[in-house]
Amino acid sequence: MSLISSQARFVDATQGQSWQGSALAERIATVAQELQTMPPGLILLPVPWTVDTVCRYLAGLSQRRALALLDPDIDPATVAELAARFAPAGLWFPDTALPAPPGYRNTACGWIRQSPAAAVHPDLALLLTTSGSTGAARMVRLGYQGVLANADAIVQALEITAQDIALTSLPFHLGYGLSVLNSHLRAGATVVISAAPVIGAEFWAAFERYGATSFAAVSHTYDLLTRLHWTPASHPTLHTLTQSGSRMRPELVAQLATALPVGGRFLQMYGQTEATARMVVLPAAQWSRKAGAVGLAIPGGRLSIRTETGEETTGAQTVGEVIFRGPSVMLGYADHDTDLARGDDCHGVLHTGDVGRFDEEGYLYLEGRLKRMAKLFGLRINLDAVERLACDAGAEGVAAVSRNDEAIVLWCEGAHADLEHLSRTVAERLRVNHRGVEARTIEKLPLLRNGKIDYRTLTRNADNGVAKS
Amino acid sequence: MSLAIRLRNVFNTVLELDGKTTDADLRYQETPGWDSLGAVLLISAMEDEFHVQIGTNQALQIDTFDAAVKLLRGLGVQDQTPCP
Repeated sequence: MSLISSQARFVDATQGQSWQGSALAERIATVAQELQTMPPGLILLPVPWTVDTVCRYLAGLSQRRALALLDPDIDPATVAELAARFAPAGLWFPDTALPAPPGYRNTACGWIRQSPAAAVHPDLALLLTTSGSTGAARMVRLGYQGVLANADAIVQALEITAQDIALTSLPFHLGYGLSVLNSHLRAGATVVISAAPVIGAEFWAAFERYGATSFAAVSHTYDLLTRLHWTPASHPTLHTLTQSGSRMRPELVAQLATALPVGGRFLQMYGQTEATARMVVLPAAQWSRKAGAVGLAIPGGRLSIRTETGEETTGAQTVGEVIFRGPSVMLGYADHDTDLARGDDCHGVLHTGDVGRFDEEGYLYLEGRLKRMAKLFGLRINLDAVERLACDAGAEGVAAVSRNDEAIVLWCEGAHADLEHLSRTVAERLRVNHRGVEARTIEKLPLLRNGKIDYRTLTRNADNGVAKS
Repeated sequence: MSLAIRLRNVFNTVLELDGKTTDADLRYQETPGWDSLGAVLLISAMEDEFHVQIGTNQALQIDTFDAAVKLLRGLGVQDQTPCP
């Protein structure tokens, strides 16, 4: 499978060296030789942002070897747990400090299995972790066709061209970061490979040096950058910002979108690893008129809403579960080694678990997750909607969780909020007794590695504290 | 109070440090709490404590305690002399 267009180019941000065309193909072929030492089966590939790692990833795809992309900072216990659960052929990570678990031995390229590995379905290209999971994480199985289809759809939706230059600003092993790489390679663009943190001088020095044209980040990162008075206007080559991860404050969207040069674009996206990466894009021209919308399906994808009675509709203003159809939908989940041999379980249909509705022009709006529900005094309450009420009541940085379906706990960042006023106002809007809503302060909301709020931790902490008398 | 002591108090509060870590050991991306969010909170706290405006590029440069001291001195912050 060839993900790379002939014009695609890599630049090593630290060395300044670049690779393209036959030089790039040669470099990929060199690391592909390491693959020959690997017995058949799944390969665990920790993915720091280095040129060698990207070449290993591309070599794995072109040789049709299934790869599980892992956090480069993965701890030994987690990688051993994955090895025990999925019986992979080995770990491809030369000079690794990760000790070989039982049944594996160290080699120059990492470690390899001493007995036959679990069988892998020929269509299986990548195994990615589901965002937010820890420990015994569910993995998502992606097929070759799905990875290609999603890259192509993103190239079209974002209008990426061979003139574009992107710096690696997101983790490689998560869907969004991977999609930036794949789509730019498909478009014949330049990818500047840097492991430097986005909040740091080195990243932005490279950004200037290579004249990057686009920047991708989650809402949380944009929030941090603007608190440092960062503005896209100070980077003359920058014309495209993309955002995903979680809902972004409309004021921040407006601040960034209006700071871009004429012809610049701010693109908000919605996706899930289960659909390779991106599913929906809000066209740049619509950021103001369609504020709060997530957008339209990417090319080749179709959206519908499934109501509680099981009917599917594309009509306006019906609320229900968002269903996505398209070639980029995963083959299925993998929890155990036997799942690796499974074929396509999803048949191009993804039940997202997100609740949404269309407006009259077909734009999708998200209203929350199916699981982000609380039952309070017998009423079913959407916790994401509660957060919006709290914001309307003047709260900033607020997260709502259910405390054993006895109360909603509003975690508020900072010590400035008037908690009593906030909890009363929200309770009034929900038409529930004021004891049903407790506002508490927290220094900062805990986040998952993908930048989304860590609701599991907040729910646990809500159970610990004493209820308001 | 010297600039360094005031700044260390800011670091201690924002990053919730114990007194055991030496100034020289404080490093962005290595010291617990000094991640990207910690960095942004540190800059805000420094601006409040020393009544200075720290620009984006200046803020992004701060990766050690020493770098923060140098930046503040460059912005004109001086050691306070004790009141008579």
